[in-house]
Amino acid sequence: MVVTAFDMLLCLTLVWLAWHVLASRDLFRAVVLFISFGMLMALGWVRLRAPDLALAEAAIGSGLTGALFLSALRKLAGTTKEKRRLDRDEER
Amino acid sequence: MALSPSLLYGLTGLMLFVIGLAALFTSPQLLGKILAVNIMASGIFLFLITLAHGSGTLIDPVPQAMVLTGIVVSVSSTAVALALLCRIEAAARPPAHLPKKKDEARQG
Amino acid sequence: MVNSGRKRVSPAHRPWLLLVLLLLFFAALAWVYLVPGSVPGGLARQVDASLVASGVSSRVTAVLLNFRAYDTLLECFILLLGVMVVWSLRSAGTTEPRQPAVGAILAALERLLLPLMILVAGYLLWAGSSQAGGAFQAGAILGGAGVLLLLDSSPFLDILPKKALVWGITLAPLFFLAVGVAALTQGRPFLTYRFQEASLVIVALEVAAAFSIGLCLATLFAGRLPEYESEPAQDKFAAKRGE
Repeated sequence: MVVTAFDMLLCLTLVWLAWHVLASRDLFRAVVLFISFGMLMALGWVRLRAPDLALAEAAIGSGLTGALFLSALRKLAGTTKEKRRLDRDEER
Repeated sequence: MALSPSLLYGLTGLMLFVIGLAALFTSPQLLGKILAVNIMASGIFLFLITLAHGSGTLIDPVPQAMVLTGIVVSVSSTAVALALLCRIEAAARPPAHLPKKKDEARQG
Repeated sequence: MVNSGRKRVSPAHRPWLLLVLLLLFFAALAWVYLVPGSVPGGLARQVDASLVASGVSSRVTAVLLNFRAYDTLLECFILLLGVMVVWSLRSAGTTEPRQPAVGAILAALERLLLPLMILVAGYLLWAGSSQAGGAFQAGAILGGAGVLLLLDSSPFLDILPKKALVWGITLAPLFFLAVGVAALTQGRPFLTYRFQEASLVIVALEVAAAFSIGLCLATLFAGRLPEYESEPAQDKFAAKRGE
């Protein structure tokens, strides 16, 4: 097995995505990027000849973890919005 | 040393681990820290799997099985971390709909 | 705590220092990795040698459910522990209002996808003994199906009798323990199988594990105790505070 341009591109994209997931201040954007990161990880597992892992990563790593993050984000958005409103009320 | 796929992916895994570690230190948001831990875990998994290619043509299934277990464990730990995060947020929020006394009692 | 991050300056006051430290750390890790002979030989040959005795022909499944069954046993317990922690974190707090149904598209998608997902999970479970697939993947897809149901505010976790839910979640860990203890009583080491019945036991364990993993993942996503449980728990806490 030799390194193909695809491997190089995949590795670069993984690192780039990880960087943007973690550098992004917008949490929703970070979570969406994280889900796509998981999908690309699944591709990486296929390239490394680990189909079991590719299946698990696609279903769990990006699917379920992403769903967990998004639902937590929705709950947090609810509380922060309420808090911001309360802060404003206190300032008045 | 020629660049083999396992070397390339192994170095990528290390890179992901280091990026995650940096974000774990610097992220101002707790959710960002949880994301960082997940990225670090992905990096470690990638690294472990490339070790499976180390000895040549035979692929070692033991790291693959360990990483498979690790993926499931990491999703459950993420769920626990997110539940804790939601609980922290709920505790930090000033509960306007509750009487003030209870709020103080909870904080004190 | 989380929200105040925007006002404060990020803890990385000196980004270049962090960058240098991280590059050094990366270089150290890469150096250890690249030193010849630092990568261990692995266990591929040993696994191949005893694959015939394991009862399945997929190497990963053989490792997961036979050679290193301890890992899978503990992993089932970790999932159980996760569900217990999430439940105990939510039970005393506010019960979230049930989300309204998202819409017709989700409902249609659900009708289309759910049977397919269950079919795929069954196939993966069946294929797991000889090729890629197995309990984890099947469980993950079952969990995904559960999440899809929960998204459409289907209260299937509430409708499910409490006993069924608890038994469903604990099925795999208990079955694993039972298999292990049965081996002990017959004078074999913990969690080892007799050759004649190995494949049967492994398939049974996989079915139980897939079912429990799926249910655990869906429960983790739901995050809260089922409704019949949360109401009295809240009253109890209110009483404890002296109201």
